[in-house]
Amino acid sequence: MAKSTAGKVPEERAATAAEVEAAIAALSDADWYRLRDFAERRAFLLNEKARGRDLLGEAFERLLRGSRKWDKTKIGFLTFLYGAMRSIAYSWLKEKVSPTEAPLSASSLVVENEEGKLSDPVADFARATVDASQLLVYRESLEQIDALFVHDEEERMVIEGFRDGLEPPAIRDLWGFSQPKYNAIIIRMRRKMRRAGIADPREVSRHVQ
Amino acid sequence: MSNKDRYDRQLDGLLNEIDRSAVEASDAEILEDAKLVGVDVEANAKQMRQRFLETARAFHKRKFIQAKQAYANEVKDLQDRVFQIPASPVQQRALLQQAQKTMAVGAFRDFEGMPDSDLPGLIEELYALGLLPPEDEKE
Repeated sequence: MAKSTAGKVPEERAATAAEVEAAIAALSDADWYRLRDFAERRAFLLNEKARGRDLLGEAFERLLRGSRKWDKTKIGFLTFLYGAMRSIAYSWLKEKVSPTEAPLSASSLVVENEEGKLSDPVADFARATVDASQLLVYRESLEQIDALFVHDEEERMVIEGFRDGLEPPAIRDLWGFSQPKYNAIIIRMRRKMRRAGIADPREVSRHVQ
Repeated sequence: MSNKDRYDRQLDGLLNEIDRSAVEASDAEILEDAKLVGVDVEANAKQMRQRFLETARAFHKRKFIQAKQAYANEVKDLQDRVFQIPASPVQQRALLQQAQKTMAVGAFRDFEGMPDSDLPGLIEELYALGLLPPEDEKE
């Protein structure tokens, strides 16, 4: 997975404009698809906050402006762009919700635990510093994704693991999946999500009912 | 807040895994992905590469134009500036000698031996280099 590129990059290790251009020219067709795929999936996660914005373009412009530097001695160009996109997406996610957005009733996020006790979303949000309306969007996105995997038992098992907040190794242990088996399921899920337009939020409503 | 309610973490965890699988996938696997959703990878790459290169070139061009404009502005600023040059060669030499005390540059110069006609030019150069205090800052 892409490593963080945070931290100050010494000038002598930062790629020059010519090196950036050479790196662009050297990307393969598959690499361009990887970048597009990654950017669109992150945009899906951002939902409304990605609307009218170009995550990959932004990462690239920040590189050109010098506000993000690519340490060519440490990571490849693709890894740099993945890291930059992830970081930019995170900062967009943290942006304040537009005042024109519809207000959300906290009660819509109240959930009941196994003992029948209701959660307190207001207190929870205050502690977790997660935007309430954003959390609702996430829940809807997850429901859309859940619907995609409803007919495949293994995919449902993996999703359930993530829904329980488990990390991938714990999910594999829980269901006794070997690494290759687990990887194969993830690939299936990746392709299914792509086919359903999950990578592009504008497509979701058309494909996932 | 329990993990059950942290939809952000659940979704992030899942998408991170999907990202990881895409990043680690071989080119052949990625091309298969693209084929499944009907993306022409060659056309996609061509279009994206062109867009990136155009952005990079436009950016460099903009930086070059900005630098060129800044230089032109600086030259114009120097040309437009009116330096306060004392009227007589005696006063001009006095100004240069006064300035000589506070600077290393030109310290070796013998202003007495310089032709009178060279003095205003030298004073202008020193003003432009910031080695002579502006009129309003003089004691």
